[in-house]
Amino acid sequence: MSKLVVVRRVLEIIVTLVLVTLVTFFFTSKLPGNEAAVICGPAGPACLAKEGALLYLNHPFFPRYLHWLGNLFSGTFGLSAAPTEPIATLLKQSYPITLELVIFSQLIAIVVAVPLAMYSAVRPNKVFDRMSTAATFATLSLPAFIVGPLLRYFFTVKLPWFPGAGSTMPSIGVNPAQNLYVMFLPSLTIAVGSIAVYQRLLRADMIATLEEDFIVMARAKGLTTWRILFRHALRPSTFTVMTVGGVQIGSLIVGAIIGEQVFGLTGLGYQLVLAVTKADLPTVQIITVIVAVAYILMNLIIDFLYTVIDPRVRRARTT
Amino acid sequence: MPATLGAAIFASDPTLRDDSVAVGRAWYQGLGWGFWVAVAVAVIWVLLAIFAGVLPIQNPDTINFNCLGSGAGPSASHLLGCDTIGRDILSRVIYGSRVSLIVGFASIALSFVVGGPLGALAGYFGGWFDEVWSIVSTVFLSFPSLVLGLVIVSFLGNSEFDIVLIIAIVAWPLLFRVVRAATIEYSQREYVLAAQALGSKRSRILLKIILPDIVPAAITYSLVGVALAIVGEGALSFLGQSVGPPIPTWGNMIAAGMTQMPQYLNLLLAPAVAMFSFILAINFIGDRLRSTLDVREGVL
Repeated sequence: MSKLVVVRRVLEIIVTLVLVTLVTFFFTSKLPGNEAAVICGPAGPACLAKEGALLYLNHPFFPRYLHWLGNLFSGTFGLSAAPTEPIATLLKQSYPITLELVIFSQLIAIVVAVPLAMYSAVRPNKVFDRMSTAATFATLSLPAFIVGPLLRYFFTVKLPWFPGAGSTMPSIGVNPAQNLYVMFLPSLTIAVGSIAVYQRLLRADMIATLEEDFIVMARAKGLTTWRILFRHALRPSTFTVMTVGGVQIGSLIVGAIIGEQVFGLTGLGYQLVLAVTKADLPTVQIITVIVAVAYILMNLIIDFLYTVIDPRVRRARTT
Repeated sequence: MPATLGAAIFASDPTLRDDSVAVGRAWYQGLGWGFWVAVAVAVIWVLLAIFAGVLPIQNPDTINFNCLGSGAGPSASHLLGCDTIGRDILSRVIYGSRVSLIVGFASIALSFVVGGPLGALAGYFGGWFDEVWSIVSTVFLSFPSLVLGLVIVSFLGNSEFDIVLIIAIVAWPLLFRVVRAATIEYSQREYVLAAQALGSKRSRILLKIILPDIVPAAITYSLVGVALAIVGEGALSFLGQSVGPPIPTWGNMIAAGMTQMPQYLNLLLAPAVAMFSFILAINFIGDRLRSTLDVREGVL
C-alpha cells in the first residue's frame, strides 16, 4: 500500500466524517419543533431567549451548523429536553451499557458459532451440518424485535430464570456477576443474528481451508484433530468473518437499540429512542453523530486488523 | 425444429448433446420444491394483504366485549384470541400485513428507481459523477440503518408515505452500490469491448448490452432488500415510531404483545410468526434465485 493510498483513505474518512455531521444536523434541525421550547418546558420566555441564543436558533442554517460543529468538537453538548440534564452526563451513564452489550453479545456469538462451524466443516453435508445450516438460515429471518420479546417471555415470565425487564443493574466494576446476569438475555438477543452470520461464513471458509496442503501436512505429522482445527485451520478461515464483521457492527447497533428497549436497559439506543419520542433534537443529534463516528472508526480498525491477522494481505499491501 | 442457431448446433453435434440439456433448461428449473413453497407463502401473504377487506374476518378495530371478559386465549369465534381491549388477533395480523408489505415493496421500488440508474451511470461513466455519488452513498451507509431511520422519522413524520420515503432513503445506497459494482464488472467484458470497437454509442452499450445483464442481479438484491425493509419497518414500528395506532402493524403488535399481557403468548406469537414466515419466504426465494442466476456474492 503506497503512501498515496493511505493519504487518500485518511482524506476520505475526514470528508465522510464531516458529511456525516452535516447530514445529521440537516435531518435534525429544519423542524417545526423549537429546540429551546423542548429544553425549557414550562419555564418562561427568559429561558427561551437564553437557550435559543445558545443554540443559534435565530441564525441561518450554515452558521448554526458551524456553531454546533464547534460545540461538538469542544465537547460542549448542551442540555437535554426537560427534565433537563447535561447531555454529557446522559452519555457518560448510557454508553458503557451499550458498549458492554455489544461486546458481550459478540463473545456469546463467537463461543457458540465457532464450535458449530467447525463441527459442520469437519463433516460437511452430514446431518449435523445440514441441520445447523438450515437453522442459521432461518435465524437470519428472525429480527431482534422477535427474538428479544420471546426470550423475555420464556426466560423471565414463564421460567423466571433471569431478572425481568428493567431490573436494577450494578455496574460491571461493582458486581460483575450480577451485572452479567442481567445483561445475559439482552446480549443473547443481539447474539442470535451474529451467530447465524458467523456460523455460515466460518463454515464455508473452514471447508476450503481444510482442503489445503498445510492441513494434509499437519495430519501427516500426526497432530490431533483438535490441534489442527484450532491452531492451523481457524486463523486462515477467519478473513471473511473479519471483513463482514465490519458491516455487522451496524446491525449490532440496531440490535442494541432493540435489546435495550425490550429489557429496559438505559443505554445509548434507549436514550436515542426516548429523545426521538420527546422531539429532543440536541440529544438526537449528539447520539447519532457519536454512534455514526464510532461505526466509521470501528470499520477502519477492522481494516487494520485484517492486515494483522493475514500476513499475506500485509505483504500485498506493503509492496 | 430448434428455435435458434445455437440450439441447432447443439442438436446436430452428438458430443454436445448432453450439455444442450443444461443450456436448454429454463431459468426456473432446478430451483427445488422449497422454492415453490416459499413462493406460495409469499403469494398467500400478498393476497391476504390485498383482500383483507373482503375476507370473512372482523374489522381489526372492532371491540369484542365477550372476548374481554373470558380472557384473551384462542376460541372458536376468535381463532387466535383477542388483544387487551378485545380486538380479534387474526384480523389484526392480516390487516397488519398491509403496512409491512406496502412499505417493504414500495420503499425498495423507490430506492431501485433512484439507486439503480445512478449506480449504472456512475459505474459506466466513472469520473466526478461516480466520485460524488459514491461519497454520498458512503455517508448514508455510515449510519447504522435504524439510527438513520429514527433520525429521519423525527424529521419527516410517521405517515405510511413518510415511512416508505424513510426506508427508501436508508436503502438506496445499497442498490446504488450493487448496480454500480455490477456495471463496472460487466463493462470490462469482451462483448462490451467488441461493441465499443464496432463504434456503438455509449448510451447504446449501457442500455442494450450491459443493462440486460445487470437486471437479474439487481432484482435479486431488491428482493433481499424487501425483506430488510420489512424488518426495518417492523423495528420502527416496534419502537413506536412507525405508522401510529390504531392501525395494526406486525411491529407494534409484537411490542404490545410483549408488554401488555405477558401471560398470553398468542398476543406475541401471532404477529411474530406472521412476520417470520414472510421474511423467511422472501429470503429463501432470494437465496435460491441468487444461486440459480449465479449472482456474484459480495459485490458490495
